Order: sequence, then structure tokens, then C-alpha cells
Amino acid sequence: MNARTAFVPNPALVGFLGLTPLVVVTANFSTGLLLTLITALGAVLAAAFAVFVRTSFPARLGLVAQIVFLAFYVLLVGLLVQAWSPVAAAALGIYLPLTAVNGLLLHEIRRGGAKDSPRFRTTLVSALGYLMVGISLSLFREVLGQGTLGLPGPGLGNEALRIFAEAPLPLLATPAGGFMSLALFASLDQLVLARPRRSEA
Amino acid sequence: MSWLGIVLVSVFSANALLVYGFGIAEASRPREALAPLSLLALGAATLASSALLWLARTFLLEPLGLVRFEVLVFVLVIAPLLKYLSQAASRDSATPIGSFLARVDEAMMSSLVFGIALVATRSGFSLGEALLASVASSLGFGGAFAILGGIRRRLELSGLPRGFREGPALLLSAGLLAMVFSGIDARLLAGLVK
Repeated sequence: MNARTAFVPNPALVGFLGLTPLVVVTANFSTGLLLTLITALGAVLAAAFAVFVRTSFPARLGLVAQIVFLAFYVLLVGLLVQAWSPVAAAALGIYLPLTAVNGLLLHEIRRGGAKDSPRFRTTLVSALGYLMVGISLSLFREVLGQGTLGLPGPGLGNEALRIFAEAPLPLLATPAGGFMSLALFASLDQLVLARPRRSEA
Repeated sequence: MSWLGIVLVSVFSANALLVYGFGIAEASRPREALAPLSLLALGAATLASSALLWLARTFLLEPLGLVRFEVLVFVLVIAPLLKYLSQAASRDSATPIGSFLARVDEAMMSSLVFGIALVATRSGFSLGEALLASVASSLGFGGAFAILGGIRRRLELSGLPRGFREGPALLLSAGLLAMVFSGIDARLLAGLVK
């Protein structure tokens, strides 16, 4: 396997998939980590389920089965998050049910239904890439935007470490800061990763 | 809140694209501007979804204490029902109505439509107010999308550095636009039109 075939473009920064929660929810590390983890896990499970569906269901029912699976996955995760930490569930708000129509998951469903669907490893790398962006973006935004680092935890209260006495860039904690941070990350991705890809081609 | 207040808040200080981030993936991809027909289809899709979700929430989920199941209601009942109806009615996609219904069908399974419906139904509005809020949110999305489209066309001619071309430039523009929109205070807007 050469480097070029091993390269999987980041779904968030190159494909612009699943950006909606990244803009808003990543203002806090704990919510950003939780939601990107749920989304990435959902993408992996959707791809795994697609393999099963392709071999066990007629083509027309396959898509329906995958959407039903996704809806129940989001419902189950929502109930688990609510039971584990009502604070985290409240912080995720509408973005938790919205995972059911997340672009990354729907993309995996569409890809999984195709005859020439990519290998499971590609989905795994893609989901890990999304998770990495979510983690680094929420870390960047909370530390610089709020001066704290909130750690996800069970129960009614989340621990937060104070990193700076005052937030250095409060703008980053707003949706506008979310767009700008994503722009910065996408730009870095274009600058750093596009160069080797071109030289290899 | 008055009806005009709901419209102003939904278009500006609670803009679907710039405050909630709904549909940002579509706005970030280089493509043609949102056609008026697509905007109408989006409005119709959000209106129908919001109405059905509001009815399901008010008369079924809340009385039974099953509000958490609204994701199942949307993904397994509302979206497939509206998709089926629009597909059944749009057999001839060559006609304007067929093309409109085909776009409604395309828009149904998106975070934009579900997100607007969720916001409208969770705001404690009456049915009429929820429908007005969802239509105004679609208009606000269309407005922000059109402004970003105009910025995109300008940026394409401006010789940006390689790292900022296309997506990153659009996201940065969306960030600046979101700053402008967030400066419009929701309480001020609601208070202006009591």
C-alpha cells in the first residue's frame, strides 16, 4: 500500500461533512468531544451495518434499514447521555437529535449502499479524522475562547480547569468564532496536506 | 413576542445558517447560488416538517411523556412521509411544479430542515408562531446564503493565497457575517415591535 492510496481526505475539512455541530458545540471541550465521538462512532457503526445490510437485505429495503438503524442509534445514545450526565445532554441540546441527519453519517449510508463501496478501513480513518478535528477544535476554542478546559464527567456538574485568568480570545466561544476556527483548520489542512498529495500524484 | 418580532429574531439574531450553523456544509461547497425555486422548496419542506413535528410533539409525545422520541418521529415518520408525497407528486420533473417537488424531496433529510423544525417546535410557540418562525428561518438562511454567494463570487476574482481558496475563505466570510448578525440583539428586536 503506497502513501497515496492510504491517504483519506478529512471529511470535515475537505468534504465539509458534519460541519453543523462543529460550528456551535465545539465551543466547549466536553460537549465537542462527546458529540464528535458520538458522530464518529455512528459513522463506523453505519458503515459496519451497511456491510451486513448489503448481504442480507434487498437493495430497496437496505437504505430504509440503515436509516432506521441510525435513528435508533441516536435515540439510544441520547438516552445514555441523559442518564450519564443531564448537564451534558442539556448542553448538546438540539445537536444530539440532529446527529440522525448528520452529513457524515448520511454520506456513510449512501456510500455503504453502493456496490463499489469503499473498504471499512476507509470509513474508520475518515471517522478518526473527524474525531481529531472535533477534539482539536474544541480544545482550541475552549482554552482560547473561555480560558478554561472543561472535562466531561458524570452527574450534574462538569469539572473545568482554569488555564488563563481571562479568556484571551472570547470571540472563539461564539458561533462566529466557530466559523473562523474551522476556516483556520481547513486552511492549514489545505496548506500542509495538499502539498505532499500533489507531489505524489 | 409579536409575530413581527418572531420574524425579525428568526431572520437575524437566531439565523439558521450563521447562529445555528444549519446548512453550512451546503454553503461552503463551491456551487451555483441558491435558486429561488430551491429557496421556495426549502421553505415548503421546513413548513411541512415544523407543522407535523409540532402536532406530533403537542398531541402525542408530550402527553405520553415521550418527547425524547421526536428523533424517531422525524426520521421514521415525518421525513419519509413528506419524501414519499413529494416523490409521488413529482413524476414529471420537467415541469416547474415537478422540479419544485423534487427539490423538496432532496431537502427533507438534512440538518437544515430538521434543525429549523426542532428550533421552531422547542421554542414554546403556538402552531401559527412555529410555522411563521420556520418560514422566517428559511428566509434568513436564504438571505445569508445569498450574501455568502456574493462574497464567493468576489473572492474568486481576488487572487487569495492558496490556503484560503474556496472553503476556508467562505467559512471566514461566514464568521464575519455571523459577527454582524450576532450584534443584533434578540431582546431589542422583540422589544421594538411589541
